[in-house]
Amino acid sequence: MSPSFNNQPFVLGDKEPTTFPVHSFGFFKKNVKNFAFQSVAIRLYLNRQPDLPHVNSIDPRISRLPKTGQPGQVLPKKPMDQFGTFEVFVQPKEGRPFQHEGVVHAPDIEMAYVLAKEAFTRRFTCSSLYVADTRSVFVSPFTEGDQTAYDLLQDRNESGPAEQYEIYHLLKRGKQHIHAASVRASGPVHAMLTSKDNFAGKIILNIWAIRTADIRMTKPDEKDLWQTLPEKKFRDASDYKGGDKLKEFLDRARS
Amino acid sequence: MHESAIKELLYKIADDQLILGHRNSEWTGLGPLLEEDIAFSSMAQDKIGQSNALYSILEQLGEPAPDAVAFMRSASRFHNCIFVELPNGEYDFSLIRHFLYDTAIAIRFEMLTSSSFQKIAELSAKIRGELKYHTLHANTWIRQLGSATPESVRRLQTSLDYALPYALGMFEPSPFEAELIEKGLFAGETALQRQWQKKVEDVLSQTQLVLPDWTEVQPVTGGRYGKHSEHLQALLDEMSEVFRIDPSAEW
Repeated sequence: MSPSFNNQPFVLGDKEPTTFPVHSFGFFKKNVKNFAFQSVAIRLYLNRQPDLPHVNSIDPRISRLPKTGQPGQVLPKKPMDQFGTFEVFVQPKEGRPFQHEGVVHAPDIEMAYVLAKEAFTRRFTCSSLYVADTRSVFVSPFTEGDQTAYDLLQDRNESGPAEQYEIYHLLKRGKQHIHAASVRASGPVHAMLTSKDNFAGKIILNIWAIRTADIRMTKPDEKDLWQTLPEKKFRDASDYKGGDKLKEFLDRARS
Repeated sequence: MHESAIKELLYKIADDQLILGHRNSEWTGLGPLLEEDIAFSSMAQDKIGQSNALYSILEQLGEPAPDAVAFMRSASRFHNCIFVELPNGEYDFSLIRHFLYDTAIAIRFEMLTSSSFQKIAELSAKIRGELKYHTLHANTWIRQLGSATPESVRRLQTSLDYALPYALGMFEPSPFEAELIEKGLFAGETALQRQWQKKVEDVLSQTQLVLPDWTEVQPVTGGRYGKHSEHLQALLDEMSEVFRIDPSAEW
């Protein structure tokens, strides 16, 4: 798979995998799709086979599960039985720019917001979060680092009404896209071209543009969703001091 | 200080949160999709955290330590409503319970932010954001599945019809109802139920789900007075199994 240099921005999720550039979430998304990732909503949608015996497990929760099949028998599923993907952006602290954190699967953008909150901001600190449908993220051509992606943009005829767009930059391979600017433009390419002059002389490997109206933002009255998050140290493995306890235990066992 | 009334109030809320927190945590690793598994587990953890905060206030009022209260009592000494102890069954029931219960607990804590008992008022204000997420999560799923496919609507409707009598048991009056209201400690179960019904009606009206006439729903009560279904003791045995092996173990 080689990066696409056709000089035309494309929409995330709208291209064949062969033209999809290699970067972190592309890899994640591609692989996740191949796993048995149950999506089209919930166990509700699986066909029940009530005559099948229960799975024997020492976990009592497993014995209580509704019967859905037996080991080795995979229930038939529709091909591409998947939710669509949504891109998740997180603001770790007040005043810092939003950064791309990853992808959630969801049936719609509101559900994506709800699921993204716990999938990506259940640890450490967070002051805000937003999501956008993968198909509404416009992607510039990639560079290998010797030139800026802005120089690869080709103007195109975009005659939509002037609207606000959010611009994101990838500054280093393997890192995240970080919010860089908000501009008004008649389309995603114009939005990128409009912000070009502000970043003259900088090497930017890749640019994203999202129409602001396509983003599900955190509403002002939702800012307290993360109010108690800094106290939830128990979600951090290091809080259990497992290594120290194991060492103590071994010391005691040896003496 | 109206200690008995306050203690009864704190115990029933804390027990509700602990028992449902544990029930919901039974989905961990088994949830219907990865993102939902994480979200539902996080909210279960929030509930147990909130019960711990309430048991800690009770400890300051002279009750035993939170671990002892959570893990050493028998079922008849729990004040939770029967609704929260019912087994999970399938995910449609868990979602409906999550919606009906979390709508109520969010309103309950909102009412308690103006309690004359300072400690519960402070705690209620502090966890407002957590509760806001829980109801956002519940409402979004119910709106989504309550009008998605004939099967999702039918399943949620069946679970709703089954859950409602138990849900009304959440509002079983306390023996201290008059005292709680008079002293400004809590505005009372009747006031809570009124607000809850309104909110439930509001969300369900955006779906294809149908509510029965409230007056035809017979509440399943008794939980607040220690009368439980057979499911609670089984849950407690499982929840406290490891703790009871060595109560002095350090975690």
